[in-house]
Amino acid sequence: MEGRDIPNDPDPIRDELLARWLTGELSPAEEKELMAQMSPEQLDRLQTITDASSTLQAPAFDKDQAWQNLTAAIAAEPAPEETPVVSLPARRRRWVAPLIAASVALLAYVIITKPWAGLNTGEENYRYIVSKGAGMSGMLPDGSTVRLRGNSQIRYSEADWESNREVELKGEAYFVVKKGERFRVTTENGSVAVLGTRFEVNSDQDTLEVACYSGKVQVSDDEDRVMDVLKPGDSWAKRGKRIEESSVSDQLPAWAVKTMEFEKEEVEDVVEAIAFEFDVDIDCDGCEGRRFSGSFSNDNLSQALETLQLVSGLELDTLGQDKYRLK
Amino acid sequence: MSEEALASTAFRGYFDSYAEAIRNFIYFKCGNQAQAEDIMQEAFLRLWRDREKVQPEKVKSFLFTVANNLFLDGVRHEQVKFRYQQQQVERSDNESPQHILEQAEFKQALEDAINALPPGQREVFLMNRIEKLTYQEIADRLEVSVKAVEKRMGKALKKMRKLTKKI
Repeated sequence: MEGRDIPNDPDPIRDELLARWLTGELSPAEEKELMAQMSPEQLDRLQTITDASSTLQAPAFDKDQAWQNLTAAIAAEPAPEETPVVSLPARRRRWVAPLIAASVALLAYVIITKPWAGLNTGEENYRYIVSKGAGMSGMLPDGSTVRLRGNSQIRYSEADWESNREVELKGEAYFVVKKGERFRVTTENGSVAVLGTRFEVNSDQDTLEVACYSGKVQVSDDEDRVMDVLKPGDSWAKRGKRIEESSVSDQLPAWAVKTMEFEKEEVEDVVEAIAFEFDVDIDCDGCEGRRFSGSFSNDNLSQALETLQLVSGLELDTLGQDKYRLK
Repeated sequence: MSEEALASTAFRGYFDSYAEAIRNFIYFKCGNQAQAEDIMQEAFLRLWRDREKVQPEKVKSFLFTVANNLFLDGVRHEQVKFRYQQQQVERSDNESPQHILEQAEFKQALEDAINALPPGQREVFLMNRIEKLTYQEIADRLEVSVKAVEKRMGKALKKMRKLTKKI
């Protein structure tokens, strides 16, 4: 991670002013403010650019073809009676779940060789998140998020979600789980739950891998015997009958890390991108006219904020939880 | 359900109304036409599965929200490419080779400038310019404040002005 400051002449025109000029929404006072900073010729020129942009069109859209593709996909939707049924354990125990850490991240990695271990209910009760070639991010009803690796999918019942946070997984996924009742991931090869809850493992010859990045994760076998409790940094794998324990040193799995790269971007834009990625608020006073080149990864907020401070020469205030100000 | 049966449903009506807008919404983000169309299709598939649950007045926001969620933020953004409207009125006395060349250069510079915008600004700029959405409509779609949209748009306008200075 590195960055450097690139000086830039500040452009004092307020952004909103130009935006509203374009739509003719300026008040007389604002118009005066704008005219003091830009000549009629400059505005004419900008008008030419925006007018020309309005004549652009996105690539042609073949609606008939798209409709045919869609109806073919709908026709290919799995019919309920064709689903091979493997019952998950019928026992449903009620556990008083102690409050868990605010956010618990767990990684469940499973190699699946069979189709869905369908529950005994109809397919139509499920929502699916499917990633084909590339990875995909999705949100669950309670705001927990899942990042699926390529060729992976999850399904869950939205109707039962409030009483039963359960996700069936095929493939590999990284979950960031919101605080709440038991959150369970079931797979062909076993189940994984946030500690304070229980789960069953329905395992076969294949592999079940679990890594814990924050909070605690409990792995149990199908008779409720606790096999392991993972703390942050622990990883656990069952390959056939062999159990392997090791550790992870990262803050999230390498495949879920992405890098945000900036080249001579305005610091304001960089701040906006970081705030968006980490879901925090960052105010920026005096960022204008500064530029930044460098990169951040999405796995370490404090490191990103530190770099921002160093590069921008600004002071960072923490205003509250997830609220910051650069000055 | 067969294609003929589907064609007579409200579902087809939603497709007619929103398919292209959703495709473009994602296209402006990623610049990848195939990916944009895959995501659009997946969004409609989700709507089909949830057709019993989604209220008619929620259909539009359902589709855009699902498409946005499906959009993978990790992909590398590609260049956005455009078609140009044919109906631009050309004055015949202006059809000199010099004029045509200047027009082509202008279009290229415009396209380059748009592609040089940061994705967030590009998205807002194109939604306003091409899709003709108001700032309020863009704010609703992106689930941010109007002020945030105006800021991005203003930044985009400043950049467009600088980036096309050479022409």
